[in-house]
Amino acid sequence: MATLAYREIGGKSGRYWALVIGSGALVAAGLGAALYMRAHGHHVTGMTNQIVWGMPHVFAVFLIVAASGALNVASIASVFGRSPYKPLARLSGLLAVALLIGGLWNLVLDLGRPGHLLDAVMFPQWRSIFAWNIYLYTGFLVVVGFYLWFLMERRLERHSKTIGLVAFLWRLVLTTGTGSIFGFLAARRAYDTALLAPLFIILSFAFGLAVFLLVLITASSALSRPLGERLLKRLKGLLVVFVAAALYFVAVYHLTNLYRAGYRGIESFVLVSGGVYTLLFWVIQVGVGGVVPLVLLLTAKTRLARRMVVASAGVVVGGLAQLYVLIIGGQAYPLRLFPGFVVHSSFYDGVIHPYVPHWPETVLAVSGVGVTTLIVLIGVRLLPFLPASLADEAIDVHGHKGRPAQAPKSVVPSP
Amino acid sequence: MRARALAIAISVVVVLLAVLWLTHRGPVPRPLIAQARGHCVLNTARMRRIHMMWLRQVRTRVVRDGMALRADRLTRCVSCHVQKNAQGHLIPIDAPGQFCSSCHVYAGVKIDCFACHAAVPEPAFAPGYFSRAHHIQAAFRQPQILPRRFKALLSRAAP
Amino acid sequence: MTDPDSFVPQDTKAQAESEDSCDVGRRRLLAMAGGVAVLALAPGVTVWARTMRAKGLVDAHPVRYGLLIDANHCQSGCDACVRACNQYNGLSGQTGPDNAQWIRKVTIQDPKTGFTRTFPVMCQHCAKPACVAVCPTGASFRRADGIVLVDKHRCIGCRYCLMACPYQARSFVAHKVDDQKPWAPRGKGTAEGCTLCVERIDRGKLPACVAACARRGHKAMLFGNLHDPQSAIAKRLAQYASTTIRADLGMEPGVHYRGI
Repeated sequence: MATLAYREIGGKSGRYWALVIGSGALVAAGLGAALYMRAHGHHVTGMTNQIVWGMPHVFAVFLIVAASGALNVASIASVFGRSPYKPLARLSGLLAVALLIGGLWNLVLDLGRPGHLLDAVMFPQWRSIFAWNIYLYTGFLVVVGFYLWFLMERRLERHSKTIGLVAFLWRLVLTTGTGSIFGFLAARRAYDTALLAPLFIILSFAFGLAVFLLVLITASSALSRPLGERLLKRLKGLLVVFVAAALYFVAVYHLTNLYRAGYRGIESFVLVSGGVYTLLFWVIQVGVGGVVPLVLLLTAKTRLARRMVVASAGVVVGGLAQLYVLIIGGQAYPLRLFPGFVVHSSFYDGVIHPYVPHWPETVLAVSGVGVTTLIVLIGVRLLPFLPASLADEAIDVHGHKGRPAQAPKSVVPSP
Repeated sequence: MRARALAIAISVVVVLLAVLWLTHRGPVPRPLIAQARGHCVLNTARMRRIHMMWLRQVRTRVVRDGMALRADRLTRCVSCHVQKNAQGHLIPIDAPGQFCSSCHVYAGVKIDCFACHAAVPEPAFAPGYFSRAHHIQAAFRQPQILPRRFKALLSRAAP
Repeated sequence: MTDPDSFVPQDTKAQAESEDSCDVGRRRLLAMAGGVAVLALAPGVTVWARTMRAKGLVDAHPVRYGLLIDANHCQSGCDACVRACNQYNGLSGQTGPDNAQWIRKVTIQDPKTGFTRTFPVMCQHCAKPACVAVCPTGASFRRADGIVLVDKHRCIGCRYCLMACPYQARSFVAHKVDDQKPWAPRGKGTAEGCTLCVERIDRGKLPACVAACARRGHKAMLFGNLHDPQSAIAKRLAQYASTTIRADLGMEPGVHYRGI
């Protein structure tokens, strides 16, 4: 039985409070933006009848996809029995919950009439993947909540494998549901493929791990808690595999569309002529989010922790760009009502729809990240989510060391 | 530590009470309901008691089941109960002091009917507007959605 | 009925009764087949069939309203149908990207041949509408007579129906509205689209666009019950070739087109 020491953080440093106040301000600003949108109607945003979903949805989908992926580290430990990841399981669960709540924050506050949300529970429509997602998301929070409880309560820890398995399966279904929000839309050429569900699962692996690494490494360095090189190397290996797999799925998605004659329009739009979407695709999504992290992780020789922070940040930025291209680019490309014809109308049929994010929706979008940060900051201070030490000796692979290297009585965060 | 927490809690409660006391404006005036034109579909006492259920039932029947009876429309409420100002212009029925809001402010119940519904009747909106609606209803054959108690109520209150 | 805007609702009662007898026939058949299992299933099946029919999921209803739009008769430069719709339903008529448009005139041109046509496009009132399938609250629904509507009492404004509709027939109300028509409620934060002037149909009148087109003498739009073989629209559809937009998607629109 591992007796690894976990410890709440002191949370008294100026940096901690700056982060709390910063993310709190972000949350307040997001709430204000949402109320402003409610009061004036969505015409104050850049979203239109053609670009139906905008920035809040890009961030929401990123956060929700990353949420299910952030749980992976815990799943690897509990379900697949890789003990070196065990000390990371609690943080993994906390991040999953925080990211999901951040994503839901965006989605709910962007609704035209959030006050009527209960109607979705009163009149469930099982043909709607959205209705399913309401239960998948809330159920995920419950399951991960129980999972965290089982991980933190010593008497229940024996059963954490079972609940871990439930959580793992749940998150697979959840990401399938999120991907299917788009994958089930036969009307739009960019979405109309079953590939989106598995693509989103692979993306969740990469996004979730990247966010997890960002939090883990910055927290360890800020708290001066040791972080073993061997553990980092394992995580690096995982990130490399996930980023490469994501790139592979993106390649298959685009090659399939290129091969099908009817889909070449949307492909040439995204890959060649789409302006900002083309730029985002090649430079940010593929470059910053895929190639650069891989090269950095596999070849560069600087300190591993620093490389991993940069690579993870790249994956996060690339992921946001990827969802921007998919969600907004997919709407910017016009619907084809009359294939083969040039179409004109007062409702912008047949033209590329412009989208300029305005401040209310952008502030709301970013505030989802603020919600996530705030939950994590409060969580790690109230409950022992973070291990006192992640030095390689403390979390030996074969884990029979009994006690970790004597942890200091109180952990003093670096000023 | 505990003493400090207690002090904070007490001061928060005090501040909240102070805010309540300062913003308190005395009792809400009793609603003043102007006389409506014509007959209501239910008698006044019953309508006061059950209009929310009645509207809810009826809106399902009209919107979703397509059974549009003449009396079933919220527009009928509006056209009888709407008031005119001194210049002879119609005042929105949800405006402060008007038929809907005077009671609803008093009871502290928010309604959002008039976020979507017109709060003044159209001038051309003559009585008998929906008289031919019954042609269509035979086509729907929806199961009766009104409970028996409710149907009795309706039949008793025929205008 | 001397009103030119009127249509004569056919006797649906007789058909409803014939459907009843069909129901009885099925029950007798089941009884003859006997077997406890079958008998136990029968009420469930009947209830299920009724529910499905009531929800408009099985298209066995005697009434299905639809349109036939003849692009050969639709005049370029004429937007009487659009203006009639805007006026009747209280739309602003503005055509900015965040203004609602329930009906629009679309002009298509074949770039190879120069063949040009113009005609109105609105909600296609599909038999298997994507907007209804994706709606999380059931606010998007299909009435038993085939008219696809938004029940704004339930709409949460998620705009998933705008995403799903292949015809771009739904709009989102992005502005505050306070000049609604009593017969066409519409409000900020909800989705909306062509209602086929459901309130006029319930009064036995033609949709505003169809009436306006007829008043102009163009007669490019025909409204009627697609499921009544005696109706003018069913006869016309049986006689001439027609098509629906994006028939490949299999949503079975109730709006048919000629000449495109």
